[in-house]
Amino acid sequence: MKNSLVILLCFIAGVALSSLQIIPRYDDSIGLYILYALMFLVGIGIGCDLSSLSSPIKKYRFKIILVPLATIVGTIAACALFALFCPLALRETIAIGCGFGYYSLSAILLNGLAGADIGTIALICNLSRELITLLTIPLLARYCGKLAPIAAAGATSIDTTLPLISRTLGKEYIVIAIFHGVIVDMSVPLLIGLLYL
Amino acid sequence: MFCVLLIMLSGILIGYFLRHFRIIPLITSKVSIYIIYLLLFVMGLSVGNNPQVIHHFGGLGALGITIAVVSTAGSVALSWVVYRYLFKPHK
Repeated sequence: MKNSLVILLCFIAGVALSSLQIIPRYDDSIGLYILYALMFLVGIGIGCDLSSLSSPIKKYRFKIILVPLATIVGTIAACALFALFCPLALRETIAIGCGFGYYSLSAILLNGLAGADIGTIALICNLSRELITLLTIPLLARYCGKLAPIAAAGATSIDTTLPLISRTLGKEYIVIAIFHGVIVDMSVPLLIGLLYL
Repeated sequence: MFCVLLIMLSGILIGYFLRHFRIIPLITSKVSIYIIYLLLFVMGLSVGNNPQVIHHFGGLGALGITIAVVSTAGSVALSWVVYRYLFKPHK
């Protein structure tokens, strides 16, 4: 819980400092290098204990495929239901949800396919999904089952949210999160492309 | 994504060679939380710098946040079913 609070404060501090232009210009690629450093550390953690990579695969086998499937179907079903009550059309609502937290890609794709407004909603929606997940990982793990943080993370379960997922759920879930992240990641352009055929 | 995987793989390799030093996993988990904080701070910086996000915090933004909550809830609900029936250790 303490971690979630500090994470929220760090994010708010960043937004405040840059929107008030206290930190004027900065290079957007810094975030990417920080992410790389983080993934390197996660890798070292796995390398020290390689059984954490192989034992869940042996234990769960084909069941692992159901995890990304649940994430994708769950999001599409929830968005379809929500479309009944919101001003957007069914296709747009589902397409926005199908960013699965991959905000850079989904915003660019939908900007081109559905216009600037939908692109903006997709950007904010998927950015929010990433933040919601980062803030609620401990809560989700405690009350909604150990797969819940991975499902909430969507496409980000392979990058930004992975370190926190492994801290909270334990090493056993790292390989599930990576597999989940790869599949959901690839499904983003695929699903959005299919919706706008 | 592939770049991230490649970097993680190189970490795994180095971690494997260093696996006899029991202090390494303790250090990496201690350091990683501070890097997560830094990452969120930088994410905040780029959101604050992004006029598309800042200017639309009202109408479009609220709709976006609602869809985020709804879709996350949908995924979490289904994942709970999968966890409950297929993953949870039986007593």
